[in-house]
Amino acid sequence: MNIDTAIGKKKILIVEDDSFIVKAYQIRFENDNFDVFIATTGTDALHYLDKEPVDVVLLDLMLPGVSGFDVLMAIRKNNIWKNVPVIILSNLGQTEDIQRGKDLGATDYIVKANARINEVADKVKRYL
Amino acid sequence: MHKQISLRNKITAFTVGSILLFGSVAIAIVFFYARSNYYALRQADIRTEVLEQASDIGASLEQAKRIVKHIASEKELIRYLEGDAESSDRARIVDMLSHYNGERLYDPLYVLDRSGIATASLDSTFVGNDYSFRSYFTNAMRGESTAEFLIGVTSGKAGYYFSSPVISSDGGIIGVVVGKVSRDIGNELISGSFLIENGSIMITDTDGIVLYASRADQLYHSIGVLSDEDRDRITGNRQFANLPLTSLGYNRIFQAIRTHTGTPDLFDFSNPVTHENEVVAVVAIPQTDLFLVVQESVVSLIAPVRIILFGLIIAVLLSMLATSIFVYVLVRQFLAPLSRLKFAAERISAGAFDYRVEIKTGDELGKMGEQFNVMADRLKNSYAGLERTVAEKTSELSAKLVSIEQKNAELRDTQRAVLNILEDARSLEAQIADERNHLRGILAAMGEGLFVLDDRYRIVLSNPIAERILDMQADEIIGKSMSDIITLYKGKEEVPVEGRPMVKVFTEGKIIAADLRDDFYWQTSKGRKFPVGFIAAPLTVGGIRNEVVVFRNLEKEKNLDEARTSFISITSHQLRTPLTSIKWFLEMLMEGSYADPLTVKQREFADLAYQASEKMVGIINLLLQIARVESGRLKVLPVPTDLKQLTASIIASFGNAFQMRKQVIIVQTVPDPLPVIQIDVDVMGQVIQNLLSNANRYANENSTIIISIEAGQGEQGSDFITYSIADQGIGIGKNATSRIFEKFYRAENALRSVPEGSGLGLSLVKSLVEGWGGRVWFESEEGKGTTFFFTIPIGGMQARAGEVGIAVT
Repeated sequence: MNIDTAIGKKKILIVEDDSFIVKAYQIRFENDNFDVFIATTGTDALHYLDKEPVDVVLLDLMLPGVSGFDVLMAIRKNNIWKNVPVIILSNLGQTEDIQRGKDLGATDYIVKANARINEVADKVKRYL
Repeated sequence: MHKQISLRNKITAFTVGSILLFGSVAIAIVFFYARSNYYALRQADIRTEVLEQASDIGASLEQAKRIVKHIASEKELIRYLEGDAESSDRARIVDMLSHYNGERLYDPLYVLDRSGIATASLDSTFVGNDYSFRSYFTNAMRGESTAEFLIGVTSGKAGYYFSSPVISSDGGIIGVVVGKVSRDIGNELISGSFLIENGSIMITDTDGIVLYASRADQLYHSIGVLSDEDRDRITGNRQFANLPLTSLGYNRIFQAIRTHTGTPDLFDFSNPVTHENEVVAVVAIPQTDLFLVVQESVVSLIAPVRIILFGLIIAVLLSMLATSIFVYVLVRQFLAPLSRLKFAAERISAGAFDYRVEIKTGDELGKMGEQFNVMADRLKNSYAGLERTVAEKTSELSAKLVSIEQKNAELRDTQRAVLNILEDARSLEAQIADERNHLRGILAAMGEGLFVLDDRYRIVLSNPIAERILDMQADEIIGKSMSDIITLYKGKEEVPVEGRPMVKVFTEGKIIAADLRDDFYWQTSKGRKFPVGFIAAPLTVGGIRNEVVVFRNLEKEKNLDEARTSFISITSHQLRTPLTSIKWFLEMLMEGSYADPLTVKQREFADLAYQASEKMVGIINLLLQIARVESGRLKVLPVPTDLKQLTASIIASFGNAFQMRKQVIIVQTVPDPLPVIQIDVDVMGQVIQNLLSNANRYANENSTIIISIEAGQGEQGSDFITYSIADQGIGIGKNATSRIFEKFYRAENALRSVPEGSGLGLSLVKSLVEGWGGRVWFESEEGKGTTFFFTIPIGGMQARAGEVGIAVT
């Protein structure tokens, strides 16, 4: 689906390299009537910045190549995307990482392993 | 060496000399005084004498002149001259003349007629002679009585001619009476005058012709130089016949005659002939035109003074002589005591200390004698004392000598022994050299760097590995203080010198080891920084304190460790991702809205699978935490914390877990409130949480869990807080006790009651508690309950700048 053509529905960009997680996100958010866009690498995520901004980004940190932090920084630097809520969803659970994420402008930080997928969905809706 | 002149001689000489000196001075004074006075006196005398003599001479001559004049007035003579000159008359005239010459004043006395021819004379040879040429005749014929000095033609003798005209009754001059005084006027008239004795007397006429002189060489000379006119006159007058009348050259005298004023002229005269100084007196003989000239040599004038002078000199000399003898003799008397003293001194210095001297002169010498005796006494005493001391010292010395002899013998033995030792020492040296080389070899072969520090932390020994690790040459290391070449860091912070382990080795005297977990780095003065592990140990050798430091560059190990740690981190995170998908899919499965709804049984299976995956998450979390603690990367941020409040919040985080099992938690603190201590809340929270979680799961339902926090006192002020959680539960059996803190260990009873337990919780608790310097233990009875204890020092946790916190969200 082309992000530019999708109308009416809420758009969510999922930056995640694990295919299983991606699948889970897809099922869950399409169920909630989101238009789900996926980037499996940091570089792919950056390509999205040229396009229309989404309503919320779910960002994983451990990405091959360009890291999630770099993506976050790029989003926040981007004039159009800078106000898009970015929720970090990572299994890096150290306080330093959380703090760094918040410092770089993440709207929230969730540790995947500790959270149910419903909790994730609830949080996402909250930031829309 | 001075010439020894005796005192006596000195005194005598001095006395004599004084007499000489003062005598001379006196003499000189007297002489000059007397001289000038005498001179003046003599001059006065001369003046007086001269005047007297002159007046005497004048008077005599005057008388001669008067007699002649009287004769000229005799009537008989007048008659004679008026008549013709007859022999009878002549005889009577001659008698008359001789009558008048009773005193033999004249020689002769004669009468000239008006033609100047002698008619009557006491000297018959005169009769008939023509004396008309004479001025006494011519002048008399003019009526003048004259007095004139002439040398007689007939007699050839000098004389003073007095003429007087014979005046006839009618007033005409009929003849001249002439009387010649030719006696030695000087002798006659000026006899007895003391002037004659030493000087000369002259009688001169106005021309300065010496008519009489006491000295023959002056007679018939002229005083000064006559002018030609005068000479002519005199020669024409035939006054002095053919006498040459040479000048005496007494010009001054001549001048005095010429300018004579009437008063005696007294002056100093330098005799051109004799070159003597003379006093000259020139005085006019009154009633004559003669002058009396007296010459007296000054020397003879003041001769008496000379005599006095000589007399004085002789007196002085005599007195000098007399005095010298006198003094010489007498002084001996006075000085006798001195020679006695001298003798006494000689005796005493020769050693006769008992010699005493007796001087009873009652003066300074007497005193000196007394003092001498006193001194001799003292000397005797001190000498005696000295002798005693010397004797003592001598005996001491002899004793010492003996002991020195002994010592010498000992020394010789020692010498021999030393020589032996030296030999041994030499062979020992060789041995040591060998051993040193051996040691060097070992040091070089060591796999680690080695320093030996002295007690001032200077590097006294290093091995090649040390040089390699530090990338420095031996000369940059040896002798330098360690802190000059190496800076110690713990993590990112520089460790001050006092806190350095090397210092502690000395101050605490124990071995200190540091490995990767201590997180030490060394930065060399060249800037090379590397992680370091070392062992430092004190080494005392022969009282000298040294320190041995063996160290390694841990770079590789650190990298390995970091790799391993990040591996653990990454791995645990990698494990979590699939787990997450498992959990989420199971969740969605169970929800039923994303897939078809499940049957009860299916739901049951799914649930179990979900729980298993949850357990796995728990295990992974715990593993992660344990890995962090064990890697030494744990961050500790202590903040002032109230343990009771922290406990309450941990309890709250459990939600209704305790209510579900109907467990009551009681928290009690001693004291209340607890002192606030520095605690990292995450770390402490984890410990409390793990223990509470155990309490929750292993305690029975409807039981009470008592949390007790007590501040307590340890030894030597090491106060701590003891935290205990007591439950009433399954307890821990004896066979499980020793292994309860092992990773993954589950006691049998625990396995049975809580199958999902991981067996990691207590392991983490132990790591954490011991990490902050506390102790963890338990008391338990199987089937009754367990109480877990841990302590925390009252000082709290030490801050640690690690990389990660304990919290795993």
